[in-house]
Amino acid sequence: MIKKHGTKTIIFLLLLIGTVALYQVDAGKKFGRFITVMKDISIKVLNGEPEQIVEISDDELAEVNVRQIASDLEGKKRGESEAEHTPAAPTKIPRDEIRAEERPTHTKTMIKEAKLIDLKDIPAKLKPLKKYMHEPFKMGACQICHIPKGDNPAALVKNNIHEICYECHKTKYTKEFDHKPVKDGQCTKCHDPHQSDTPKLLKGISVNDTCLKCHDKVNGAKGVTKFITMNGKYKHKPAEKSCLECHDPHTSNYKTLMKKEVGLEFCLDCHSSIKDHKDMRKWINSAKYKHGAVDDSKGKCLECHDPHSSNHPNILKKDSVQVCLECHNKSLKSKEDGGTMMNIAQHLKENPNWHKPIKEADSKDGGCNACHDAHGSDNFSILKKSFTKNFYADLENKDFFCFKCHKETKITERFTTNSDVTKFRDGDINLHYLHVNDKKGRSCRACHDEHASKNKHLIRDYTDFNSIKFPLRFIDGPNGGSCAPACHKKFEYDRSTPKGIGQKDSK
Amino acid sequence: MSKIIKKIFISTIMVSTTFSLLMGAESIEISPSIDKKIFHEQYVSVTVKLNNKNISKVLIVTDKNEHYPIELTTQCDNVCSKIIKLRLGENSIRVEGYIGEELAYEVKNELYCASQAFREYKEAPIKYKERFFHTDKNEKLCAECHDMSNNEQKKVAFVDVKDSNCFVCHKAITLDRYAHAPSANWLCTSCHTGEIENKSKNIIEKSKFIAPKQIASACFSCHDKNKQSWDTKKHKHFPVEAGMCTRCHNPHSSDNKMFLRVNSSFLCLECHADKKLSQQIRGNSKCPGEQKDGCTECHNPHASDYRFLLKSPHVDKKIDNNIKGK
Repeated sequence: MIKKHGTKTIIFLLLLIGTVALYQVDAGKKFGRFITVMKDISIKVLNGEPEQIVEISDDELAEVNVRQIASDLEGKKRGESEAEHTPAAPTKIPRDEIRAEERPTHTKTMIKEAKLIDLKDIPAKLKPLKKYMHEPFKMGACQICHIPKGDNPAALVKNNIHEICYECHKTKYTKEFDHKPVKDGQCTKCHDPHQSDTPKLLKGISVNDTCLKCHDKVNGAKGVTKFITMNGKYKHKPAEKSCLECHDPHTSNYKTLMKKEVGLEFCLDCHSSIKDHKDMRKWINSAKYKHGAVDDSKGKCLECHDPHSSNHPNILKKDSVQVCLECHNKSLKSKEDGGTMMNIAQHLKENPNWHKPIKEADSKDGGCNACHDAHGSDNFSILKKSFTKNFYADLENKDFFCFKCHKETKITERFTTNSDVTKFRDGDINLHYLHVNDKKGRSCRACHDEHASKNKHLIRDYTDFNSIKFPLRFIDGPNGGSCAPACHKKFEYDRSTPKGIGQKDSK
Repeated sequence: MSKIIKKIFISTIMVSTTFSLLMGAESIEISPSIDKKIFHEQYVSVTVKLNNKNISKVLIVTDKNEHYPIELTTQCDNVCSKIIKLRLGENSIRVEGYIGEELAYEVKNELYCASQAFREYKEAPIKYKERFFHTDKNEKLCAECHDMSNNEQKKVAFVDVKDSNCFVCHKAITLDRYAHAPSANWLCTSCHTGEIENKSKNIIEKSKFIAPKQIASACFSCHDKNKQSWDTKKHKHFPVEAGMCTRCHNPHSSDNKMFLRVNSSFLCLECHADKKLSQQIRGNSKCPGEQKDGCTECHNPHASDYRFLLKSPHVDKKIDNNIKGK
């Protein structure tokens, strides 16, 4: 039998092995691919794109990555469905079409079509009627916006509120920066669609109240990024009047929705022509020595001032010492002479006895601005009045502005027993007079540190003489004291039992 | 034979006495040595090293019989020191060491105190040599007990001057009535830079803190206004022009006003000795220099626009004519 059909069986066996091998190697895959391609084509046909069916040759088919195609298709679909739900891109509207805020007139046809309701018949929760009413509401044309649907008699005509608003009102999200509720289509976050006691149908009792409902530092809403306070003791008048003096509530080309670009000029537009105020533009531009915070800072005025309100005079962000220490907590380079300015924060930290204006920063004559002009000055170190950098100063030039607060008699009365004039006395000899009123009279800063000191009476630890630091070695006593500077040997003074300083030849 | 024995006996006695004397001399020594040295300040710190622990009292006696007893501190068990004041010119001192009340050891030294202000004492006799103390080798001698480093902070004076490492040995130089601020505050290295204009390398290497003779640049760093006013003047006094301020002024301290080395009227005559002569001849002249402020009554000692460094133009026609005639 085997012999008889030997060759046939061998051929059959060979064929069998061949087909099995073929199936193992290729055919299965090809079949799989065929099925997925067909599925793909059927999806396309069902989606209404029959024309796009392309004939694919076997060779091409072998190279098609079916999984890739499948995932691509799914991704495309998902993207399309997302795009359907987002509002139309604001950039599509050309800027020319942006019009000023104006009252839209609702078309007659819309009104005709709408069933008008008498205002008496409106739902009780909308009563009593308020001062300002939305025009369709006033007309009783509720149907412009509402249409009964199922159980809800006041269902909206469209799913999204902004779609209804923009039927009549021009789109508001047209510029570079948008107010977030505007961008999100949440018109009713600020505006009441029916009526309000505030113009522009605002929800708050005023513009500012509406804004602060979200933007107040204390009671602000969640998810808001910019907070301000208007509860400060000192308020910026325009901000107090209305936020809209500076901001656009909907959209703007400038950051923080400002009406103009924030900068020195923006503030100076008002602050150069305020009654009973200095012309700041003139002041800042004409000052010989300029303050870096005004001249070359990023925030300009806003480096130091809060544009809304603050508890510190001049609407400073912090008290008038701390606001300076924001920058002067390191050695800064001086533009005046190229030298380095002292690290005042560190100086104040190390020396506990502070000059009164620094100690009482929020008082009327307090703060760094008691002596320095933060907006620039013609005097060095932007001082308000001329002073000397020198150890020595001639008597005629001793019109120091220390005497703005301190009595001039301190240095002009040769003999005194009045401790109100000076306590730096040896008996009745005024030692201030002795030090200051001489051919080589010394300036105040020879002995006193104008900012802070470890010693009483702001006596310096070291006096700077020709850039050498000499210690004053001041010791305070109950009724006098002693000094042993580089200028003379240790001298003692006593107010009640004089030690004999100041008499000639006491040296 | 007996003669020979006698000679031997005498010679042994002589040898033993000289040996014992030598031993005695070694038992107190002045270290570092100040013998035959020149000093430019009137104060010198004498450091005595005691090689015998039984010494109970040490005394420095000058040739004018001034006694400087030295306290034997416990701090340094075998070293003690004392600052003594020298007279200008040659000085000889004797350091005596006592055991109980008995004089046991004695060392004699000769020193020379030179002064730039006096013609007489400007140059020392040949046997005296310049002394440079602050070399590494010498400083090692003291480093056991003293911090020999320079602990001065540039341009910041000591609050307590005793903190200065220089103070311990040199404190006497600021003791005079008027003390110059940089020295009284021990800002020594502002002048004692160790950098001198002198070409000789030997001198530079010999002391770390040597100060230049032409010190003016250091002076003018503070007294800059003087420089400005003198620079514009027609005539300058030679030491001013040469920048040798310390020739007339003692930069450390002085009993005279303006830190002058000598009272002003005498100071000028040290160099201008011819004027001394004319003054003597004149006797009771009406020269204002003999009263009041001395020469500086009429002359500006630094610079002037007028002849002879006068403060105002001269009006004596006689002298004017004389000069013109010449």
